[in-house]
Amino acid sequence: MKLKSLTLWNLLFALSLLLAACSGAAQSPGWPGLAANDNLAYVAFNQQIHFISLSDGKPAGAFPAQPNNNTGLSFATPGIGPDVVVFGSEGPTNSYSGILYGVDPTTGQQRWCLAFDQKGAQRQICPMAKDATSAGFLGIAPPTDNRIIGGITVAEGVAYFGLASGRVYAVDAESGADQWSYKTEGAVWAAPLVAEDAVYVTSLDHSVYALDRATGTLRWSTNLGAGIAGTPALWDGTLFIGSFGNKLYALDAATGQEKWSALANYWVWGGPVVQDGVVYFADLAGTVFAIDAATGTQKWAVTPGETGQAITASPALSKDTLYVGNKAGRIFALDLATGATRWKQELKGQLLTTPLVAGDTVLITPFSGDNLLVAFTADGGAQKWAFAPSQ
Amino acid sequence: MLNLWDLLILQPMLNGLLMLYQLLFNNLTLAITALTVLMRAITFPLTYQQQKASKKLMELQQSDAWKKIQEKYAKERDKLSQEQMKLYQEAGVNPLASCLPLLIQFPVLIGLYQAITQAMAASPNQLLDLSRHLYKFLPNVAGIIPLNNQFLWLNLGLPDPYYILPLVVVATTWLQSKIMTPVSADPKAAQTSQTMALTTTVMVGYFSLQFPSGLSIYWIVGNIIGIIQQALTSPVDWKNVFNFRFSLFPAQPAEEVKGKRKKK
Repeated sequence: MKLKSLTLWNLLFALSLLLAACSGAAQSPGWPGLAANDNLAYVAFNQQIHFISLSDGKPAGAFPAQPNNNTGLSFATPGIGPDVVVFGSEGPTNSYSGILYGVDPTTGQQRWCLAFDQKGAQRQICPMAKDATSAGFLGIAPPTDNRIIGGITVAEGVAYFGLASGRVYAVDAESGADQWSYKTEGAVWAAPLVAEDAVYVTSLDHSVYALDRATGTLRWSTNLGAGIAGTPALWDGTLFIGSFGNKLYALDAATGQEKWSALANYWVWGGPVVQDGVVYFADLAGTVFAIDAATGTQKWAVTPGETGQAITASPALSKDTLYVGNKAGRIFALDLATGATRWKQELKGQLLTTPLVAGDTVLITPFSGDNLLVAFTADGGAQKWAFAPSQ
Repeated sequence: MLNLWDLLILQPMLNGLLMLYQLLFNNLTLAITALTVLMRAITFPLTYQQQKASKKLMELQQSDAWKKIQEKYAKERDKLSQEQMKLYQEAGVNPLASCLPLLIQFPVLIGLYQAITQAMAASPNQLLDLSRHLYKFLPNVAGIIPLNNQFLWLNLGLPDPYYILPLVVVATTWLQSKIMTPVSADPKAAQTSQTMALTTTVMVGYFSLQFPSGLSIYWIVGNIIGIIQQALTSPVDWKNVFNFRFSLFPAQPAEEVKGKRKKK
């Protein structure tokens, strides 16, 4: 009996650790990243970037051709250039390492890669980026979280992105040569916004940074008092940013001075979008807002799904419709003028990624569903095709 | 949709951790330490009860009456069980009493683990989960998220690259296992308990190598409290604790070994 009770004690302890371990490890760190050019959609998910034909949803390639652990996990929205697709990797699960890849947009052949630490076999063949590590306590370098979680923005041959360590990079999209880097104080989980001569970066350190586009030097930074995980939007010299402080801020893009702020019902995770002087954004309570960009006055606010079904992604815009997806797997097409629902569809999985409007098609990437990419007609919401990686 | 587990276990612990973080100078290590101490204090009556029951059980199993029936009914298992039950009843010992409090502590252990993992929110999915579990009435929670996870050379959201914390986890887990293991007169039982202590230690050591170092802090603090609790509630045989002899095979009586040699 003594042995039995001892064994039970040890078994329970082991079981508790195992269960706890499983509950943490089973969860995917992120959700799919989606981008498209005229012909193909690119979906970054787990160990591959899937190339999918926009016309019929058929697979048109993948990088790497077969999933492998060396490439690592990819969730960040790829950056699309004319001759290159740039995407980032988180590294293998729990490795907290990052690699940036430049890949041929048609053939999926790797052109270059850039490593942000020396972990894993792939780093042996990828050149190491500058400033990827930092000195720490008593000269002992702390472990650095170099995952690329936020998306990549490609503009005029340069890829801009941030790491979970807080460092922001500008890299030549054709060669992978790094041009400049700037260190923020917290993780960067959103793709930078690239304007004419400035790059706007948001960070979980509660601040938004305006960096010189050519040199990466800081022009201004403004602390908004809560984490920011969305890409800002720019309209008529005003920068719009949502924060975890349940607010949308309008800042002067030249100085970072606050112009106005609008209250949401809960955290604003995804970035806002602007069209014709109206800012649209959604919050984690599931509410979608339309705000006058000049004054901050609310035009309408609707909760198209159940209250509390989080909307993490930025809305997507067409000429007269706003598309939003929520955590419950529902996509809504809302009238831009009133917020009224034009059509809705329900999918298996969670819709955490920003929908993408490509011509007369709306693309959506369900997370933990049966399909990885589903296409709907933009006007009526009829399903055109669906893609699952095993197809 | 929230389930009962989240409502009754995870959310109170998670929000408690965030409150402690705010109270303790935005220091995550102090907050994890305080929460672990608090949870151990709350579950102490159960731990104490379990330790008392284990001790009583052990004393009974070392008694002459127990040994006598073991010898007498060595080949009659059913009869042996009946006699053992009789002894339990006579001595007022419930063999399950040492296990039941342990079972009740089990969800607390997992809840604490989940709360710490979720509070560190190193990935978008974890942060999204965290946002679902926050109490709306907590003041300025958005202002403290993400939590500051830098502590000395550590990033509490990542494993310790210098293996210092995993080593401390291994040392304290081993020490706690040894202290909590009752001294047995039976060499076979002693050997088994030593194997168990080693298995647990190796397993926890492996987990602490893989998991964020914030969890190692929780394990270390929990182990130290466990050691102190045990030392305060019953005398510790330090000689046995620091007895490093270990073999993978159970000790065999000398006569048995001699017999085997002769056969060869």
